[in-house]
Amino acid sequence: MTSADVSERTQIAEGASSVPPANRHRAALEVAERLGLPLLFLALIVVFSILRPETFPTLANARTIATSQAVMAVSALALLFPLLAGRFDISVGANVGTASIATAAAMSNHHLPVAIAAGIGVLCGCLIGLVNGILVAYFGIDSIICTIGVATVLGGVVFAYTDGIPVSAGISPTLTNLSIQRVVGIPALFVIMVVLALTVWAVMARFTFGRQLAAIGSNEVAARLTGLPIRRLVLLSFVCSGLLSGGAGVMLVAAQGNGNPQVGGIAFLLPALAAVFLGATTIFPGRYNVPGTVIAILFVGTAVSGLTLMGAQTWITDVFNGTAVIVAVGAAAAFRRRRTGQQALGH
Amino acid sequence: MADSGPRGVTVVSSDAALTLEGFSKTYPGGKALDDVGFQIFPGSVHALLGGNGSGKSTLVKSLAGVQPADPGGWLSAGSATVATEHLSPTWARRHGLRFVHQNPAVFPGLTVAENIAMGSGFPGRLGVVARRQLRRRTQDLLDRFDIGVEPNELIDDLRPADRTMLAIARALQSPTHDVSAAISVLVLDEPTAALPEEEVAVLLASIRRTAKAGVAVLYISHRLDEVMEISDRVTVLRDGRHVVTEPMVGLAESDLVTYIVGRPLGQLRRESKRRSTKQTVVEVSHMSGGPLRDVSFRVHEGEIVGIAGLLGSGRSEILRALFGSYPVTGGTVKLQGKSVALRSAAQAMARGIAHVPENRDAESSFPDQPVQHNITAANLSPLTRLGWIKDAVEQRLAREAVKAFRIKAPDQAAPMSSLSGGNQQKVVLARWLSRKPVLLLLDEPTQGVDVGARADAYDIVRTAVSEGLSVLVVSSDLEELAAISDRVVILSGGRIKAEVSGPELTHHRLTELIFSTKELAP
Ligand SMILES: Nc1ncnc2c1ncn2[C@@H]1O[C@H](COP(=O)(O)OP(=O)(O)OP(=O)(O)O)[C@@H](O)[C@H]1O
Ligand SMILES: [Mg+2]
Repeated sequence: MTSADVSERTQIAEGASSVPPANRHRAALEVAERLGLPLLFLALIVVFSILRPETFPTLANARTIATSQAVMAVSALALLFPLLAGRFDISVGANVGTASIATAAAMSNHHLPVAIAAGIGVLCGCLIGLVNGILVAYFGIDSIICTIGVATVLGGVVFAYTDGIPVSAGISPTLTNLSIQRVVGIPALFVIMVVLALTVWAVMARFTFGRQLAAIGSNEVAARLTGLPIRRLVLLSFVCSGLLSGGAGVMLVAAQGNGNPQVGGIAFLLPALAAVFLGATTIFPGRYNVPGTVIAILFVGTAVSGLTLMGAQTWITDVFNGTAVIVAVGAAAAFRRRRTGQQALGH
Repeated sequence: MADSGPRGVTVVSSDAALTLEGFSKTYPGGKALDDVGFQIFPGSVHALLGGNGSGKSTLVKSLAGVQPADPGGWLSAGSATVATEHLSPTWARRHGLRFVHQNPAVFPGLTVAENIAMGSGFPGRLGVVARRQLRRRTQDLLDRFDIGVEPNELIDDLRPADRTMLAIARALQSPTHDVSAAISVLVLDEPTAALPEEEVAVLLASIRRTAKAGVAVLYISHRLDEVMEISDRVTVLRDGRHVVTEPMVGLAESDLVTYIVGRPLGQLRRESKRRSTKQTVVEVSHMSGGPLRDVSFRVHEGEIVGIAGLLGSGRSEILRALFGSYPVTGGTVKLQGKSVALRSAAQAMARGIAHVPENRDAESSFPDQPVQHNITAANLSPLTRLGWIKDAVEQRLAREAVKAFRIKAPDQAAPMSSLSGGNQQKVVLARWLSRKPVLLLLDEPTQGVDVGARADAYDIVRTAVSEGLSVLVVSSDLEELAAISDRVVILSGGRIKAEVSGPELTHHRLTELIFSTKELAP
């Protein structure tokens, strides 16, 4: 091969110097796509600040949102691992709830030190993830059905254990104080969430594990034929999901000051679910990604907070979250099609 | 019929079935089509040729209206004319254009009748399917196209040629079930890429019949011999531009190659025998299981061994068994003198075996992942430390592969699915060769790969072979198999029936052997 014909036949380099209008238009579109959600987020803040200038644009409100959304963000991160491998973990909400009860009960009913109680919460999450992983990866049960089942069982077990009454006596103040402590002015729980998010981002984008999960999610047969141990990796994705759910459970006790059996389940999960799909429409459109997910969670939390300050009824939250999930999934699918050049079904 | 002059100066003729003018398509990475125009006439087969990524499929998708071309051009079909930006699937359908895209969508798990009905609607009332009517209608269609399958057969059980013909039949049936009444143009994007030689003949015959009935057929293929056999006229694209539209008579294969590649190309040639040593790399003894019956052979270091045979003779199964992805019930495999049990792809890879499977979309492509990840997918360990992927190293390796294989991609972070079919195949070849395997298993490695790239790919394989790589290759392209192999074994009914090498190894001899052993098969 001579270098002359290499240059003739390699990459499409034309159009770089003289960008046709169609291309410039497209480039603008691409930027708008990447930054769409962050811009929408800013617009939302501006609008609410104008409508409720005394209550909305305050440091206190920002901290409240940051603290309350920290738990939700970690739950959303938990969803990402199985999702990357093409599986759903619907049990994340129930898992978070169960881990929070385990943590609270360890302190309240068994008078264990806070560190051990937190460890029990996280371990509890991991075990649930392990069970999910075994059922999905080794017994071949459909992940959505399987984790809905597991979530329902967990809800029942939690109710049996607590009789539906919150576990609030004897919770260590070291833990509950996390909800009011700050690191350089930023709520501690939020800082913990950011650290976890950075870790998850690194694992997903820069470690072989994340790469391998993405391969499975993209084409499982091809992944097996490049030598990947599919079952083990899928199992691990659910364990990671459980690990983060457990962490979110501990953070939930810190944020609320008790273990509440009413928290957790599908309704709890919806904002997180909306966030992972909304997140996939931004920053790196067409892919599940960590920064997008975190921005999306804050977006959803801010919108709900703003609506509440506007005096909206509490049911607004459910309507908003439900709608957000549907819009997000639809948008994520559309972006993905555009990027990969595939067509929607039908004409 | 007025033919266009040289260099695409179109003499617009009113009896054309289809006239294209000024088709351009801009993707984020650049122009995939640049001002393409030509005419297609009723009752003739018109070949559309060009290298990988030259814009053939893009043109087809623009014609079909599924990915509209840039504004500025127009299309006329019969008496109707439409601007490119207003082309839609509905317009195309209404004006008698029918399409079978590269990788036609069939619905696995459904029957032939159900697959056909997916295109035209199920008969019946209020959503209750009239089964008997559906069957009868399907049978009519199958008869008309001479497809020897049953309406109730599962689509998965069909031979590839039948499946492709079914896709064509589905495209050709009109909503009124009156075939070809309103159909003026049939566009086929690489219908034969995944078909073995003997199946191709069946398909070509059916295409010729369709053309005889007055339909204009636009036919895309990388197999020049079949193109020359079937086409009346030919259009060649290169880098998205129109190169030539000419009648096929009087054109030699080398002329086509020159148009496609932009320069003449040497013949695929076997090298002298000197490099093969007597060192046995792999020795298969009495392998049985599935279609395989007592298969024994060996491959030496630095040798390319071809496997030829009819569809279903067990060719792919041998490769898959050696890669641990097909369970065998008997026999032994010795790799470099050591007995090995190969039960998974991972085990085979650990022993230095690499496998380029037959079906790219199902078995090797990660469509939504970046090209560079697709290149490094089977070979992450040299660029990772404690699980951390070194980005710069990965980028560099991918860039080298893109260059070595002349992969045409918008950029290496673009998703795999934005590459043309042939370029995706090159990505998969690059993925496995980068592992520097001891034994390379190639299953139809050049399907959909253009003539120029084919020569490039075999150059790269040959270089590796001269350094000691051994290759076991399955190909339905017997000419290619004869040209590149040192030795070819003929498989029939799961048994090795013959072996040819040396001067006896010719395209002609292989065809003869394959069809003569056919009757002997159990
Ligand atoms: N969705 C897309 N986004 C960006 N570039 C694309 C997209 N689809 C196709 N392309 C580019 O357009 C060019 C033409 O592709 P096309 O599929 O038409 O080639 P082709 O002639 O059909 O090749 P092959 O013979 O390999 O099938 C290629 O360089 C390809 O990378
Ligand atoms: Mg193509």
